[in-house]
Amino acid sequence: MRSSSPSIAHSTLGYLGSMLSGMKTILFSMRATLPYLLGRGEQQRQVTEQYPDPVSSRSAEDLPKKSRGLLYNDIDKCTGCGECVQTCPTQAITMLAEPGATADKRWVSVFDIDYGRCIFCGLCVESCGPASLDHTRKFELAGGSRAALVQSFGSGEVTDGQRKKWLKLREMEEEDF
Amino acid sequence: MGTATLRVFGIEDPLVSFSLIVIGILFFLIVPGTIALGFLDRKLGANLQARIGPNRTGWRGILQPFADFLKLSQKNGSASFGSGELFWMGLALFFLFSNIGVVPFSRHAVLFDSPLALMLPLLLLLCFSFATLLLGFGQATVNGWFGGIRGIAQSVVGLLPAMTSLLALSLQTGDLSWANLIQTQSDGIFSWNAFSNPFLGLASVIYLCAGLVMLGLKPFDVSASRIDLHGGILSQMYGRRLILFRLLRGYGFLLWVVMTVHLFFGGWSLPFALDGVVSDLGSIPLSMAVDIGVLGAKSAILALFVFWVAKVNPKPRADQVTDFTWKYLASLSILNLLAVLLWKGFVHA
Repeated sequence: MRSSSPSIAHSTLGYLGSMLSGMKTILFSMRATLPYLLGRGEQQRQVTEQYPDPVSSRSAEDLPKKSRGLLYNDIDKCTGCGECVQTCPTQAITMLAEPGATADKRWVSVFDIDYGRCIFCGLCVESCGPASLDHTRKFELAGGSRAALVQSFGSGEVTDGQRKKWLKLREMEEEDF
Repeated sequence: MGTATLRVFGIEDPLVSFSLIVIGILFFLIVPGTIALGFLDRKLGANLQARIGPNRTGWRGILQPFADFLKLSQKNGSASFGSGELFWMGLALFFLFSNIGVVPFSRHAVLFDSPLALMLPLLLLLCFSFATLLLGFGQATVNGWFGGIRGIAQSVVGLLPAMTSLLALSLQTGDLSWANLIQTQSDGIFSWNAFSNPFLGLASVIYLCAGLVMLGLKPFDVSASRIDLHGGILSQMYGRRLILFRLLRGYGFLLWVVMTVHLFFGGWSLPFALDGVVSDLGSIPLSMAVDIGVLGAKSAILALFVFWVAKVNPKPRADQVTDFTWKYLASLSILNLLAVLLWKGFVHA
């Protein structure tokens, strides 16, 4: 009858073999990384993507081309259509618009973006018809309060007197038309 | 011998001089040494992994440990300590201060000696390992509990090879006293235990690895594993507690490396039989500075090898650590003990 248990010699050789294999692995790994220890590795320091600041001499321009930074709304181009408000998945945009001096232009009194909610998905930029809303390359907006995270682009409140003037202007425009 | 040093500085009271030496070692050797080790670990580790590492605080990030200290010291965390954490702090601090007194850093500062003096650091390390168990249990979380269990399992398995390597050394030196150890290694590099007997060279590797396993240090730090234990015993450590934890762990590593250098690599003795020159310098402070410098340089080289191996090899699992220790370190250490005995008999015959 054949014995199925390995012989002592076989077990000992296996034991020594695994020990040598482990030592070989460690020595090979040390040999491969010796140039890196001496600062001469081929990929030395390439793995780390440094933060853009004076220490690294990198700037916002070194960020990837399609980086989605803080938003900017050119309020003069903005028509107040509200598409961005509807599209935003986190309701980060607050907008108040009313009829302006002309029929085709609305006055955007309030346009606030709350970066406490914004996830920088870029859907608002994609949905903006007049292309007034876009990403910038700025990325630093840390503040000391939640209020500091809200960025405002609105043109400000309008007085009742101004509203009446605009109403008259629109009526005159319609009559001309 | 140690108190004779401070008579040079005019202090006669042995208790005062002993206390000053201990305080001096703590604040001028251990704390800076731990800080330096921590910084080198990060910087060398970054080099080896093709990263940059700390580079913002000071020249090449050299002030990073101080920035970390400032950051952590501002985080208070919960005000109350659990009973396990209190035990851990008490035992760990006992270990820290006791070992300062029993491990010499210079020939003029051997504060304590006896035929079994070399066993003391090992036994005190066991207290430290037991303290880690209490820390894990005291955290009242599953992660901490398992981290503590792993820590004590490592201590148990690491103890046998460490003790056996020490016994192998005692066969060479005759006993386990500092005086004998220093005497036998003061005649150049080939009188150092690791090089005077090939099996003691193997014992030095076993002793070093066993100590790292016992203390749960890299690359065997599975009690603080992030992958499966979400930090283990570290999961509840933050703020000032983390500073103390890191200091103690760093000191444990420093101590073990210094012990390995003392036991197997000549301690503060210079490689070309220049010990006589150092002894004849005529100035105790200068001689102490040379001793500490040599011991520090050797410890730094040994620490570098440990960092290197830890950073460029995969981290082992908990079961792999215990398997490695039982199957390889423990069995090799016992065979090595026999081999040292046979070698000594053969050489003397």
